[in-house]
Amino acid sequence: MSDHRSRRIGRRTAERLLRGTPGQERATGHDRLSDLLTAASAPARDRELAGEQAAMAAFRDARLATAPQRRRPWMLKIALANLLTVKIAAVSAAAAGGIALAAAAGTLPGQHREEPAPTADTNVVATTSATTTGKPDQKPDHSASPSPSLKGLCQAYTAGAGSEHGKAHDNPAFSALITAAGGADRVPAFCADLLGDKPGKSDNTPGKPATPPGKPDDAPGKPTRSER
Amino acid sequence: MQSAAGFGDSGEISGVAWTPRRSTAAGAEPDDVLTAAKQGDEDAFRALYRDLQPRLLRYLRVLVGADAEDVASDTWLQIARDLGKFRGDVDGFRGWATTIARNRALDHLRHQQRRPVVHGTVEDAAEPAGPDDTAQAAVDAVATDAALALIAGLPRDQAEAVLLRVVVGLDAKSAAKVLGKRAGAVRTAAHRGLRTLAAHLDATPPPGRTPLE
Repeated sequence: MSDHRSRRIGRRTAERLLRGTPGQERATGHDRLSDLLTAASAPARDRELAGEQAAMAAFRDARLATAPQRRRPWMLKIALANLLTVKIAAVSAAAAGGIALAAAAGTLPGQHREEPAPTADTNVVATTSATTTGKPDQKPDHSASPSPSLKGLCQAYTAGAGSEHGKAHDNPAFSALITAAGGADRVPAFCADLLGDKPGKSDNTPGKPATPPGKPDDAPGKPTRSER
Repeated sequence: MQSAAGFGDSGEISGVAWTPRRSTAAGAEPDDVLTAAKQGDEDAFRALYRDLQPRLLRYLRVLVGADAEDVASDTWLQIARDLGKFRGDVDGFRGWATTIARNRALDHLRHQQRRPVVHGTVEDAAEPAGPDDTAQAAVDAVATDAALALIAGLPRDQAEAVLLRVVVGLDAKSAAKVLGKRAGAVRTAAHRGLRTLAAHLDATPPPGRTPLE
């Protein structure tokens, strides 16, 4: 061994040692240093790979997380359909509720255009408050609102009919519809009647005829546009 | 060590490291292995792990001591999670993964509010062997641990530079990128580290048997 010569290491020698090209270290004249570096970069030992299973598990998890649509596409579809149903219901019901409230406040002529575009949250609130409170001074509501509201709800209800009715019944947005139909089980028939008729013609619907058909028809359409 | 050596030379990594018998890894170019891993091939990812993990672990041990394994497993969680977003070849991958490991280590130290492990001096080199089976493995383990302990005794910038170049297998430029320094500075630090090690070895009488023979 020629350790005595190893005190000074030139740049080139240092680079060669750092690169560690096998076989070449011997030629640098720095055997012990070369051995040390070789030992430091020696082949893996078993215990150094003890985390392999955990790493592989992490890899599998990451793969699943990045490709969720591959797992259950039809579940996703249903979830989307439900979401859309609720949204339409809330928006169209709220549009009617908004008009109803505006009418009650006597501000309908000036403001009815801005009313149908509140956020979904306030929509639902407006709906429930307008329909569940049966106070005398809200009576105009009933005559003004049901037509567009029920129509929209019926459309939403029918649109969601393919998937899950149970959920629709639980949804507060449909409470007005269920009330109007006289029960959850009567909703399909009620909606069939309502949607089957031209707006303004189905005089048998409670509280309907007061509103001219053109205006309320706009109301459900507007929020649908804003939803895109 | 150049990356090609670590990947291609299976004889060098005897027994425990990845053995190129599977279809994805057998004779595959390192970049192909990386591509396969990015596409979700488990064997390819395993090959990357087996190649890189020991290197990272040895580097981390110098930074965080006994917590190296924890930091390493955190590192692999992140590698697994972000691999799909990585763009580059296998050398770039090694640098990228090492950067993750280093950041994790620094986070860990910050969290513990202490400075990197101080390894006293290079004189404390001798460490007990791990519970390896064969006598030769024990000797090798001692040699590796002793070598790492010696390197860890260097000033931190020199130790990191030497480890990134020699153990992790990065070139000067990649090592500089990991450390956030200029390549010239890292090269200088590594050279200084080697000279310090050589001087220490010169001052120490050679052992009865050299570590590797």
